Amino acid sequence: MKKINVNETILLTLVVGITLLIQVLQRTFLPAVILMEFSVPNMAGLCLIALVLNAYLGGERSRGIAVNLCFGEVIFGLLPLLAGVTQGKDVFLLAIVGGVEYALISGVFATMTDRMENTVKSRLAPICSAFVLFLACQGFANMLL
Amino acid sequence: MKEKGLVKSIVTIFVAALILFVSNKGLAGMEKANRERYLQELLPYILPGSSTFTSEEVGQEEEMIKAVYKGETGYVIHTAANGYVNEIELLVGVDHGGEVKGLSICRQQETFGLGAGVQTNVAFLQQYLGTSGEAETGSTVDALTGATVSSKAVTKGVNAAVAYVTGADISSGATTWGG
Repeated sequence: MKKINVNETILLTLVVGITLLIQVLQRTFLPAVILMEFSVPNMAGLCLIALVLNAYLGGERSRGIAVNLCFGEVIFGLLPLLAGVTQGKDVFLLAIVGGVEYALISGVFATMTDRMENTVKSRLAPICSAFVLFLACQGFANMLL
Repeated sequence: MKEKGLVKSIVTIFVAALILFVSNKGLAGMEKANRERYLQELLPYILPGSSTFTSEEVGQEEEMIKAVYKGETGYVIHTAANGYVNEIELLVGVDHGGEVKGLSICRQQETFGLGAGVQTNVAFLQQYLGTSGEAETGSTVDALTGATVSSKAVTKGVNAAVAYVTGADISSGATTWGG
């Protein structure tokens, strides 16, 4: 697979940024539309889209949990704030939850895809791992309700 | 992560932040105007018989009431009640006699396939038309299957709107989960 000069953080920024830009446009031109909430499963979905894209594009992997935590907090804290999606104490809550989620998911995703690639050598390994992790995040979010 | 990758990541975040900031600020005026126009188009459907609406001040003690729009034949009340996942916000048209004339769910994040049905299930929403604040899930109003909490939240929102117009006292507050 041809390697492209990207990494997980760049792709996560692009995925979250495009999602927020769509929300800004929806808010402006389609005021009746109910916007996507930045909840635990939805944020997990965005992280997993970025991780799957990175896996298929052959981008650089980051296994440093502290680095991912910092980047996740900046991406989920700063970008929604500047897009006018969050305000007040929600900014910090979203930053912390998003950062922790991204750090944990990226670590588990890397481990899962490595294991699957080393055993079954499947091209579907990243998508399968992402699907299982998304279901796990949804289940976890329902436990919190 | 290598140093070069780190710098590229920071630059990408900065550029994305800049684009979002500029687009959000640049479109803010248009967004406000479009929202106002949409609301003026929607409100006559929720309260038939009224064509012009004026926004009224809402007292701080009204926990569930977010906004009030006064028309010629009554009021459209923007209420919010706690559903299963998050708050369910609805616009309820109530005439001067306290009768519900129309309603529309304007924000909800309920479970897809279950609670989210409170927004799209016309038969469920029609049950509230003609009620006068006495709606009760399970007796006067049938709950959606698998979405009792969401249905109760809608009932609370409707009853709160009617109570605001008639001045009646309602038993449960917005902080009670699903009623």
